[in-house]
This record gives sequence, structure tokens and C-alpha cells, in this order.
Amino acid sequence: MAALVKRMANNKNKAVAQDYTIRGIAASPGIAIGRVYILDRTKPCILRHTVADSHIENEIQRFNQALEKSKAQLMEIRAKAKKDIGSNHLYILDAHIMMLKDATLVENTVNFIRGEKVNAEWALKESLEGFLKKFENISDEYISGRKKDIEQVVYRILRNMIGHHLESLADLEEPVIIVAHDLTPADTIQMKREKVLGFATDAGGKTSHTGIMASAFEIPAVVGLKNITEKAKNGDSVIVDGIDGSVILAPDADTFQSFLKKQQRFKYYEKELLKSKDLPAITKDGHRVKLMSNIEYSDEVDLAIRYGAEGVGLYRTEYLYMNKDGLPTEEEHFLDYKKVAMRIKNSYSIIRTLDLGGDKFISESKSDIEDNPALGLRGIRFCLNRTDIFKTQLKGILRASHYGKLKLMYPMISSIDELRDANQILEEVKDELKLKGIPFDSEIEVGAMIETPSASVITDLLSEEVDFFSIGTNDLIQYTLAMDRINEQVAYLYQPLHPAVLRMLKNIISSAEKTGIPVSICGMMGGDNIHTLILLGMGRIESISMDPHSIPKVKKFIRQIKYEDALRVADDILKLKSTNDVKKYLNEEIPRIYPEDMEGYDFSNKSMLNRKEDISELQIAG
Amino acid sequence: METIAVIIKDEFGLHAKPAFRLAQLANSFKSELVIENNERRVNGKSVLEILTLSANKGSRIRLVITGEDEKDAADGLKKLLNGSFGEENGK
Repeated sequence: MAALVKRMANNKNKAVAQDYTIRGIAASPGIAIGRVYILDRTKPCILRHTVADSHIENEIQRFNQALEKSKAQLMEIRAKAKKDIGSNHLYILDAHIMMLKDATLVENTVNFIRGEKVNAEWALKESLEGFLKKFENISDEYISGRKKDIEQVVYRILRNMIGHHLESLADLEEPVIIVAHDLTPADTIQMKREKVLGFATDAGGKTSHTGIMASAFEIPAVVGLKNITEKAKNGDSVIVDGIDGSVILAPDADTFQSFLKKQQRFKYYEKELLKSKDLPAITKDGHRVKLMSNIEYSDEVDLAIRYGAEGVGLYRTEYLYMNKDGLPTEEEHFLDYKKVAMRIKNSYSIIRTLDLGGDKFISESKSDIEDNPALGLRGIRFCLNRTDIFKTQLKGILRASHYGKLKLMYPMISSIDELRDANQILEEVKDELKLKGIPFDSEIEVGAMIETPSASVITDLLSEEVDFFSIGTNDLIQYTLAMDRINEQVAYLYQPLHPAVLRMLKNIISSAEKTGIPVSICGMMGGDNIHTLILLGMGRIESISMDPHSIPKVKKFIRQIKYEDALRVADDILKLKSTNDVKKYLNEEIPRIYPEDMEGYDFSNKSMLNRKEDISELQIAG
Repeated sequence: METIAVIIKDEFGLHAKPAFRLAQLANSFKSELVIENNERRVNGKSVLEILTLSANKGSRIRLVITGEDEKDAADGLKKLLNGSFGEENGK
């Protein structure tokens, strides 16, 4: 590490741009400091040249050899993939193998070599262009999305013909930070975990393949950086900040020092916080609450358990429907939920049914695009409109409920009628399974996600017809305050502490208490310390569900506070008239009750970088 | 010559997965397979060409099979179509 510090400090003397920060999307938390390794997936330059008649068959043979070689490479990756990661990504590899030997692609290329008397590379490139042009005219995004696959396959063949070695992550010799346009399953399957410090990619979002792999492997990653591959060069010093979502190229000595501090602080807190992961979340005066994890895909369960989650408070099932062709089958649903059910042993998992808008599905008719999808056919409305899709998912959930404790939850409920309609369909599906003799938990609990103002106002009525409530604070705040969080003009209106929001929360929790059903919190509000205190004080909350990485710090916080304080604070702020009054109250009251410094727990808070403690002190403590 | 008329019932149309299965099966026979969607005709042994058909949900496509094993091929294809992504619509 010392050598690296020195090298980084020396950067100052070179004529490179100093401290160039690129902002992206934080996809996996942590700080990675190291050297750039560009995974080059740029296209080789292909030139046309004429081939003598006597050499034409030779060109065709070269083409065929490259095909065989490419096929052998993909088969090898496939065999390894099957062993290492199961069958999840095999379909993509099978598709690539099949495209490789596509009848028309091969025929066109061979005909082109013969007809035009040109080199095989050029002929193949022309065949590719022909297909890409045809695909361009296709409006269906599922099919036009295959363009990327065809290109990947053809460029593999071209590289093999030219003799370019297609570098793979299996070849890495020393730990590096991978900089790439995007990573494919073929890349990550071959990756040696210990040789990758971090990821920085041009493309992708939090649920892109890169984001998900990084998070599963716990490698810091920032995605969606747009042009990092143009800005970074092999061997450059680089910092990947997967906490705040930025990448710093050629950091100067000061920046380097501060990030080294941030990295150590992060590692220290992770370690420190994880020490208490098996302890219950219980206040000093004995009030107990369950901390659960929100997950986006089933493989995240292991991560959730490692961070001390007692169960899954919200499995958002949308990922099953995304990044794939066609709809998930009943079997796919079943196997996925079964995995979750079996991993969570002494607790339960809440599977939320599909919460996507109709716009994600109806690709063929442009007229159906909604002006205002947040107020449109989404959540339970969409499921009641497309009962075929809904039933398939319900069957999968029910079947999986035989293998571990699962609960079912409907999103976007806004009336009793919707709830009854959904339950009616659930009963039909149960009857169907009973007839077939397929086992499932016939007593499966059914809950409603409370995230619309209408639902929150009628929670006294709803509570009599469901087994539990889960409050989705993100949407509830947006709908209550009539604001769109994505719209920067009104982003300031996202106020979890607005009296209207606080009163709604109080009302929901009181309704649940009166009827005697459990209530949980599963929005972003649940992962924030101050908000945690307020929520706890509002009444009997069974569980709080959050991003797995937030669990340790919320647990540590809960173990430091008193329930009686929470009750008093919640009681006080419910009497206040405005968001500003509430904030003012909290700014005075919280430090008064808890004089010891609280800020260090929040990793997204930049202030942690400014703290004065010496690194050496932390090293001893860690 | 054997022909099969099919109405695509899959939500996503004749997308990658069924196209792969179709081409894969077609390649196991000697007969030629041509798939027609409106005015467009493509080689049913090429998955890439099938994809360019862009057959949406509700599209009526026609499979034309010619060759020495056309009967077997037609039977096999019908089985695949009925079983998964299409809806056979008479002969």
C-alpha cells in the first residue's frame, strides 16, 4: 500500500489532469483504490481486400476455423458456468452458440467471399451489417435488444480470425479495478473474485448485470458513468466510491488520503457493526423490533443474512420480469421463491406481487403509453387487468410456500374492492392447486402495501380484511405530497417529516394496533436513524425492512436508544405544524437526548470525511 | 409441401427463446423451412432471420416446409408450436 501511496503522490508531477471526478450510479457499496484495467471490448478495425481466385477456398476455411474456435471457447465458458453458478446465465450462452452457426449468417458470409472475392473478415462484417440494418427497423425493444448479442458473437469470430486474443477476466494477474463499457455474463463468470477490487462501467443501472454481480460479490461498483472508458487509461490510479457513486481518476495526494480514510472508516464500521449482527434489535428499555431486508433478487438473501436480517420484509419481484425475454413461467417463479423460503429458517419472507406499470409489457401498441404512469395502470391494478400474469405468479408463490414461511403482499392497494378482487383470484388459484394435489400453505398470510393516501385513510377498514400492513413510505410520501421525486424542480418537497405524512403514518399504525394486525415499514424511511426513532415512537411496529447494508447501523442505533424517548419524540412532533418546525425540534432534541456523536453511522454523509480522528487510531481499533 | 398456420399468442411475440427453439428444431430436419409473416419470407433455419420477422402477439404467420422429411418436420414443428408459444390455426 505504501508503494501505491507514493506512486499516487508522484502523479502530481505528471502532466495528467488531476483529480478528475466522474459521477455515476452507486451499485455496490465500498471504496476501491487501485489501478485501472480496461477490459477492451472495442471493435477491431476491419479492412476490405480482394482475394485471388486460388485463395477463395482458403478464406472460407479460415472463416470456418474461426467459427469452430469461437464455438469451442463459448462451450468452455458454458461448461465452467454450469459448474460455478448454476444454470441462470446458460440460456444467454446457448443463444450465443446458436447465433454463431446461424444458417443465414454463415451462408451470406460464404456467398460474399465467393461473389465479391473478398477476405473473410470483410464478408462477415458485411453480413453482420445486413442483419443490424434489418434489426434497426424493428420497434419491438425485446427483439432489437438482440442486436447487442449478435454483435458480441460476430466480434468474437472476427477476433479469432484476426488472431486477436480475446482477453478475459480469468487472465488477471494482480488485483485491479475493472473499467469497461459494460460487463457480460461471459465476463463475470470467468472472473477471479480476489483479483477484482472494483468495477466502473459506462453503462448500466443498479439492477444491471454488473450491478447485481458486484453487489453479490461485495465488490465496490459504480455504473452508468457514460464515458469512463474514454477518460481512463490502463494503469491509471483510480478510486471507485461505491458509497456516493463517483469515480476519481488520477487522484492527487490529498484526495487519495481522504479516500483512504473513508475506505478504512467504511471497513472499520462494517466490521464493527457486523459484530452485533446476531444480537437482537432491542432498545435499552427492552422494546424489541425485527429488522428485515428488502431484496431485489433471490440471490441477495445470503447477503441479507450476513448483514443480520431476520427475514425478508420485502421481496420486490420485478427483477424476475426484467432483463429477459418473455414472461417468467410458473416454474421459474416457484424455484425462485422456493430458494428464498428455504434460506430464511426461523422467520418469514414477504413476497410482493408484481409492481410494474402496463407500459413495461405492452410493447406492440404505442397508443397504450400512459401520460402519467405513476397514476396509471400499475401494481395491483395491472395484475387485476392481466389476471393471466397475476395467476402465474400467485401459483409460484403458493407452491413455494410449502418449503418455508412465506407471506404474500399486494402493491398499490387503494380500495377494499381491489383487495377483495385480488383475494378472489388468490382463492381460485388455491382451488386449482388443491385439485391438482399440489401442496402449499393454505393459511398463507396476505397483506396490503399501504402506499396510497386513499389506503392510508381507510386503514381501519382494510385492517379487518388483511393479515398485515406494510407501509411503503417512498410512494406514500410522493402521493401524499403530490410530488415526483425524480423531478428536480419539486425534489425539495420530498419531506418525510411533513405533518401530513406523520399523521398518515400515525393513523395507519393506530388502525393496525386497534385491529391487532402487525405492521411493518419497508420504504427508505426505515433505513434512516432519526426516522427510525420517530417510526418506533408511533406505536407497535413489528418490523422495519431496509436495504441489507443499512441493517447493522440501524440495529446499532436501536440498541442505543430508549423506547420511552421515541414515544415522547413522536408524540411531540405530531403536535407541530410544519416540516421546518419538526426539523427544528429534532435538531435540538436529538443531540440533547443523545449527546454522543451520531453522524458517523451514515456512510452517505460526506461529513464523515471531515472527522478529525487519526487513521492510525482506527487501525488499532479495527 | 406442408404448411402450418400459426397465431402468435405469446405476450412478447415470437421473441428470442421460441425463435431459438424453432430454428433449432428446423435444423434437425433435411427439409427447407420458410416462415411467412405478411409479405415477409425468411429462412426458418436461421434464428436471426426469424427474429427480423418481428412477429408480435396476434401475428398470423405461416410455416412452409418442403423436402424429403417434410411430414416428420411438420409433425415436430406442430408439436413445438402447440406446446408452447403459438396456437395452431388449421392446416
